[in-house]
Amino acid sequence: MSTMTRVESRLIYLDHNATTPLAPEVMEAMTHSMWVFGNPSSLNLPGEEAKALISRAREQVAGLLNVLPEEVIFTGSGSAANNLAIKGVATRYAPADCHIITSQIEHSAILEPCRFLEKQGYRVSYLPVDRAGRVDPDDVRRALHATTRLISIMHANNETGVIQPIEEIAQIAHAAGVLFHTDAVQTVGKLALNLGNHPAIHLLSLTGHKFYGPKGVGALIIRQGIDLCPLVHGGGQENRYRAGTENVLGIAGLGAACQRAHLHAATEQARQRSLRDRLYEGLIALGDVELNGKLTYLVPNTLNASFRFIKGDALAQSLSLLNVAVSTGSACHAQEVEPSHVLVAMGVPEELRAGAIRFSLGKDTTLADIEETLDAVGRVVRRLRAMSPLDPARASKAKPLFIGL
Amino acid sequence: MPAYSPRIVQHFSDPQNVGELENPDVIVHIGNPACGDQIYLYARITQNHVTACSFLAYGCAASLATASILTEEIQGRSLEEIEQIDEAQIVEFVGGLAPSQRHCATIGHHALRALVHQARGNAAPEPNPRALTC
Repeated sequence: MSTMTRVESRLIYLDHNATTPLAPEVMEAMTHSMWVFGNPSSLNLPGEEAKALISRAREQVAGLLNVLPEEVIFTGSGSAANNLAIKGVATRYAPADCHIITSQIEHSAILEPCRFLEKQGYRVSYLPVDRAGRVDPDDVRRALHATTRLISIMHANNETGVIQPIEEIAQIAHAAGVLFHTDAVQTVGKLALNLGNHPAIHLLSLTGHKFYGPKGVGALIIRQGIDLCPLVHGGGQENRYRAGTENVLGIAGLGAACQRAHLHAATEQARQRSLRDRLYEGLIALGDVELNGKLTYLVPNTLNASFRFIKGDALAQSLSLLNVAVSTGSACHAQEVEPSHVLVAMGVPEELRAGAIRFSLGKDTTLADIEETLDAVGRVVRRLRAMSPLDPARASKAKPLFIGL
Repeated sequence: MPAYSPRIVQHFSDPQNVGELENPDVIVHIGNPACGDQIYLYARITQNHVTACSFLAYGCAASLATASILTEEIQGRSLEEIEQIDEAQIVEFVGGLAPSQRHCATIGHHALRALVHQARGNAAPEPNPRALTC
């Protein structure tokens, strides 16, 4: 592990789908940018310096995705990019004249804007997924309507890592004369994405902090010829799509993260895939563990598994005490469990949903980290199952004499 | 992850009195249908006192630790003393619970009440999994 993620606590960080630490080259670019204080809109030297930093970052983002620099619109986050895509398309139309197709497994930054639009009278279709967590392109075809204006399907799911068939869906959209957007927050910087080869992907969202860039900055790729309504009106920055003085520091960091990904993503992908596969093997060997999703469809760094007879919260909390950071798909709040909408949509039974854990690897994850994690998970799972009345090996043979009050 | 008291961390990392007790006088099963947590308490009662106690539990870290702590706390106590234990005292036993974890004290309190009720020879009511909504 890097010094950044291990520090003194020797943390094994396997929550890279939540966020990543800054890469040293990103930190260096940002440190340099901190001295540049000008307003990029000012016609003076400090302003020109700031503007040059933004232009460079725009080229770096464009270079990673093979789009034109002017097709890159910087936003405040991945969520802001998703909001701009969904509402920016919809508000060009009257509610009765705009139908949107999306899926049930999207991030809340897609689902919530869609629900907001529904309240304004827009129509939205939320497509189901199969047990492997994939949208069926035929369902997209069937959902098309004369007023369908936008199809938005994520590239890979944040919880399961399942990659969606977006190329095929983009072609369906293209043939129907409908705009296609993809939330690629979990794949940009991880998977090679050449939008030059995919002109039917009209809009794409990304954020910096998922691939070693800073938080608080993202981008929406808006391909040439596509026109959206801006959400923030004002000074006309970012080709009038996002008014407000630019976050020069964050944008410079995002650019550096893209450049870094351009150089290293492919090799990191292969390395992380092999580590992830070792993790999968080791977890399955524990017994009564089920993968959520199908290995062949997963981004290389992600694995979501359900452990029978125990709660995911208890497993994640135990691992945290052993300095292994993972994530649960559901959160146990005051009175009830909020189930993962993704696992619900996949038809994962309740007892497996409650025991789900996400492991997401990163550039600094080593084989030793994976072996240590497997050892820790094995110990904790055995301990928790020894306590569990649900484990058939342990369950009470005595019939409960008293249930409830 | 919510913060935990040192006692919760201790019991969660090294739970005490885990498993089924041999020849128990009382077996209590309490479940919370809202969050799915479950506790089984096993106890032997001699001369109105709990002389041995164990547990099985399914739940989050605080829930499991609470069950373990309760098995320690009630050993040696009389049924009258156990009857007096309320949720606030359980929160005290475990070294404090965040508001989001208070349901662990509630389920523990229900388990203790059930234990006393049954130890006094009362028949167990008909199973009613919906009865507890903590």
